[in-house]
Amino acid sequence: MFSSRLSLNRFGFWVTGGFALAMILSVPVVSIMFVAAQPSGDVWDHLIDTALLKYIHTTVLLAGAVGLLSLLLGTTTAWLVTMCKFPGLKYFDWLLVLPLAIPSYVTAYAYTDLLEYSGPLQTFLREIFSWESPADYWFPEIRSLGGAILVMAFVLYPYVYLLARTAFLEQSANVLEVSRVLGRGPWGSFFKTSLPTARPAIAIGTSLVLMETLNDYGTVDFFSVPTMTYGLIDVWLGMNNVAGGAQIAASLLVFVLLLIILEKLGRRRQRVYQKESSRFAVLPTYDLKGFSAFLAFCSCALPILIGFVFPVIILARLATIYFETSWNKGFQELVLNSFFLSFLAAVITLMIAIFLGYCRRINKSRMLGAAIKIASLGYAMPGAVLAIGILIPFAAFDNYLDGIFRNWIGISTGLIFSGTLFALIFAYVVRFLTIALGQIESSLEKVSPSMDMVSKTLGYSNRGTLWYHHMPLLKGGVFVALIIVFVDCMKELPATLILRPFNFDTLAIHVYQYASDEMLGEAALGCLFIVLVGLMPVLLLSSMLKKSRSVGR
Amino acid sequence: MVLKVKNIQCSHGDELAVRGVSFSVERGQTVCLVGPSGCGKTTILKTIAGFHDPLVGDVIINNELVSGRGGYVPTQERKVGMVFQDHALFPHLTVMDNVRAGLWRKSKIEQKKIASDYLEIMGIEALVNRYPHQLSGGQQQRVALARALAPRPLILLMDEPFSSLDLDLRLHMSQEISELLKIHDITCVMVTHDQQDAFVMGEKIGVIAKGQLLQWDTPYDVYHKPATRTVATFIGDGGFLNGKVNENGKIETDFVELHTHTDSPLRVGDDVDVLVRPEDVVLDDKSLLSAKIVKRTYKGAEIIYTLSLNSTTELLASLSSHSYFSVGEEIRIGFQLDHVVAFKK
Repeated sequence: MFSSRLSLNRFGFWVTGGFALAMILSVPVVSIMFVAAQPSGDVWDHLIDTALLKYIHTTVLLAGAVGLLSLLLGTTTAWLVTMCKFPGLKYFDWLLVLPLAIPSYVTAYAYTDLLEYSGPLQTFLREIFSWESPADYWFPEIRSLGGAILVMAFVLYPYVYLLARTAFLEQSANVLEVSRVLGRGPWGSFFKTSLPTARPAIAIGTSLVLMETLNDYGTVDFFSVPTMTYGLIDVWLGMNNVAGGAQIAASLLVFVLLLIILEKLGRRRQRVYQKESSRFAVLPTYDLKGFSAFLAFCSCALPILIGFVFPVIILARLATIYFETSWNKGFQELVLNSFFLSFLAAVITLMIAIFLGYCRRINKSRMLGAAIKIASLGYAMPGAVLAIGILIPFAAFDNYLDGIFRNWIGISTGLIFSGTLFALIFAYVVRFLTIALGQIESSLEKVSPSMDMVSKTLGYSNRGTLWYHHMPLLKGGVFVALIIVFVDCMKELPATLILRPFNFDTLAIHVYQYASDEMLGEAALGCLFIVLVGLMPVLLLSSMLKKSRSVGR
Repeated sequence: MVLKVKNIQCSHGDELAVRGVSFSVERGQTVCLVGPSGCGKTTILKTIAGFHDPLVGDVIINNELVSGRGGYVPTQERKVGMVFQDHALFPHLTVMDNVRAGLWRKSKIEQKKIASDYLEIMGIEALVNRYPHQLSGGQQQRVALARALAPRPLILLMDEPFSSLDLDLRLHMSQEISELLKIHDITCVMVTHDQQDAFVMGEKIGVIAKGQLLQWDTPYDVYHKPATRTVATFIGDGGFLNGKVNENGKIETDFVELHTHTDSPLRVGDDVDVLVRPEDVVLDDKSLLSAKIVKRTYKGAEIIYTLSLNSTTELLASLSSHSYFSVGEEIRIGFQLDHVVAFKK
């Protein structure tokens, strides 16, 4: 291996800067791994004796069922929408993504309002059949493991849908035609040809669903489903058991690593199966008629109704009833708070993503690449785990700093990092960096490397090249990434719950607190706000889908 | 000397892509580096521009060491202009703004004036307000060239500038640009895999293969006096005759006896290959030598015949389109070898 002897003074600022930044962003991930590797005797034993096994058991049940159900929903709808013709197809194509706009805890609140004992549905049934008490009839309890499974699956299936849809769309039409010429019917073609080639994409989608399931705190807390994330926050905030919380975080990390491996494997195989060249091929479609068309229609309509339409209607009804009490100065301040914080975090995330993306473009060193990869693992970490990964080193640093200042100047610095917005924004950046970085890198890849070189020969430095010749081209990608990260920050619950400064509330926290106090009516307006904001990136995504569709067919 | 490249070696990944290349370019001269793809010619160009560091060796521009001996002047301070195969125009800027891009050190008024001058030189002053995607390939090329020339670089570097153009336009552009560079006294290093481009543009041609400079000569000499077999086979077509140097210092082949050059390093008794270009073969009814036509490639004005002289010797012959023969026919041929080029076996 020959090394360029001058590479350091050529790229000094960018490479060292990029590397240092990536290292700083890796702190939470690395510190969690560090905690995981620490033997800590009795805490561990104690946890295993009591709660940990229960947490793991519930998590496996929940994740397994949510994964399976969303895989089924996502794959079926994606196949129907790409390979069949039936009424409403044009709309289903993009409507099927809408449930992504609602965080699962909001959906959970909505259905609880509808289905609980005092909710409109049971009241209605009681009136019709003149039942008096719960003993008179049986009704499924939404606040249960089963309820959580249903809610999460119907919110998260679009991850599978999106990836499977792209995979089906990009499958070579020739392969499918050959399969039919060889005598396979629609079902045979699906199971023997379509499904196996789309498998990597479906695996990626499912692993994303599972990451979100592990991340969820709002739903499992509201439904009292003792998953590991539930246990983690309960032990950490409720019982003030820091070591115990860290240990649960560490064991949760094992699941996360498995999911990362599943996702990476999927992505590697996806590159083999999905070839660019077949993208514009026209797919053979099945023209569905009569009952089968009706069946297809229902299969696509159901997830949209359950995952989006019903929750929005329920929330809108509640919000109108409680509008007078909810819409006040405090609420407006809260909304502004949330907007400000999310926007700030999104801008910082984007700036870092642009910096790192450009560093990687001008320097292909493996060290830098590896550092950036580790830093961007945050997307897979459940927010609660990430928060602990930030809190442990930050608190240690704060104490260290405080100690120094006390000894030398006699002033206490307090919690500079761990108790302020800094920690929270840091968490958002680490968690959502991958989304932004992915957008920026794919935008950068479209620009020919010779443009950078021309810019240099015209007398521009690296900074000048980035500013004058890349930024104008990155605008679109930056805008999309900004919206996605902004909305994700707005919805984020577990990390915010752990890291927010004292007396600082976001919209998500506000909603969560009212819901915890069983005041769903007061929470509804905030929920509706979150949904409205959440619709932005989803509609953006839908319009992109519509475009890809017109090319794909 | 505007440019001196001294014994540079460059790596490309784990491989040594350039193995000790030296040459120098005078003011106003256009030189072409020719070679098959992957021979290292683009790496040489990038080393001159400063995108690549040589492991060993120096690059000197206008008597200033810009690469080598621990020194490095970044690209943006080298005063080189560059034109790429894909033209690399900034898609978000108009033609005017593209050409102005390299003039940012000057005032707005000066920028406009200089840019307009160069747009006029390139004959595209009517396109000032267009965007790159509204231009044809040839127009994009002109804009790219105007942009590269506007800051008055010491050297213009061109990487396969014509290969994205279609054949007609390509010849036209290379002739036009060649004249333009002469008129404006511009020093230019161009890299191409196409020898026709090199013949049209280059006052000097450097033939590169496997990271080495095999020959540095005028286009005429590169074609007619190739230094090595590799050069002979890469530049132009042709075949070889088996031969042996006899006591009289002449080369005896299976078919004819040939003179050697006085400065020829060949010795009596050497076995040699004699290069025969397609145009060296002529029709000759009086000749005793007959050849069988194996293949015919019709090119309009000329026809290229593949001839079989005996079981081991095949030659190419370029004959006028009036000499139309069929495959399998026997024709009588002679040789018109003004430059005898022989390589020792």
